[in-house]
Amino acid sequence: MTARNLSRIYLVLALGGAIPGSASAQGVQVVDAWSRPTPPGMDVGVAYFTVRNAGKSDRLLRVSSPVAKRAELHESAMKNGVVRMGGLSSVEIASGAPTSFEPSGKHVMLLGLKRTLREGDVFPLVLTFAKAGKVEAKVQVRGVEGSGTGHSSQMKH
Amino acid sequence: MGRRQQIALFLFGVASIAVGLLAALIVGIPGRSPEEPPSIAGFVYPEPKAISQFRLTDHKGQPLDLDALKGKWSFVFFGYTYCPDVCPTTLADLSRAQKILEDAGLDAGTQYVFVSVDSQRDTPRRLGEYVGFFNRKFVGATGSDDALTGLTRELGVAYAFPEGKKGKTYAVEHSSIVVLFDPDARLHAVFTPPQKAQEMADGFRKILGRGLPRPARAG
Repeated sequence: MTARNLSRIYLVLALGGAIPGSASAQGVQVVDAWSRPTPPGMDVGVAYFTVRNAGKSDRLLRVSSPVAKRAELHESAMKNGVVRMGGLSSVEIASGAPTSFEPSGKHVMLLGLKRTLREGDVFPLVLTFAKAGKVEAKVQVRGVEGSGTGHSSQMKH
Repeated sequence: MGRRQQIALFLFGVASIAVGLLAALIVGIPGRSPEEPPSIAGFVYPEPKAISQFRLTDHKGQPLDLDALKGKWSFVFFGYTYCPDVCPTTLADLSRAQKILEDAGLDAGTQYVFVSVDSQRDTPRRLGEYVGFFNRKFVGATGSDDALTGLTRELGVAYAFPEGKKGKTYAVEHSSIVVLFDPDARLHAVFTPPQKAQEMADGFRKILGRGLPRPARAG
């Protein structure tokens, strides 16, 4: 337990950065990165975040994380109440307006998780943009209760 | 009789039948609730719909059939545990809805069932770990395609596996609705996506306030 806590602290320290959960490069900022805790034995996970882009339009090409063997860009699309999840080869990051990766929409799917994600954990996610290059975000694992729909509803309670 | 009169008589006949039917609808059909179904984030069936027997297995390996839905209001959601986005979102909201109802003292007669349409990967043990992670009140259940087909068809729940599914990481398309059964195990309401915890709790409260329509007559 202590060793695990220490390693977590170390992980956070090693990542550095003054503002947790934000990262920027050439006008591209990744903010509010969060994930869900994973049930025991589960080796798939998810990551959500918002990309702000003050510069020229860009394109998110790839994602990776040391906690998973693979990370993929996905989108859940709803049609007549049926949800279909599909891979995205890349995602357009418009200039100005934020691009949201959120529940039941665009998200990062983590495959082959190397460990269980627990509430309070922080793990790195590396996003590769066509112009801005690599941007590292710190992903905060929220509690189960805070992982439902919408941001505003999570803040209550 | 001239052609005009014939037409007039015909129209009079049609009108009489219509008026008669309308009167019968308003006054006469027994057992029908005169109120409009309450408005919820989804829809309430004007008449709760009886469904056929089905046979699934719960996360403890015990049979779960139509009788398991009797005596309680049941929230039922279909999905699969390898679903990283939509299913955990809905289950997190359903879990919060349960807590809202519990705090309001409306939870005693409710149960929550997550039905996996992916019995190949979702064993009872895995389902138990999964649903318990969200809420200790949640029950997991699954069944073979044969066992699921009748039930999902009657509920209007669609699901489909990708062609040539391989390995452990395939995604399953599925309807993301939360179905509410009444304590007579009849299909009572559907909460449509995105289901928010507060909206489901409010909807359920309205449905309870409406009272339970009388059971459909046998025969």
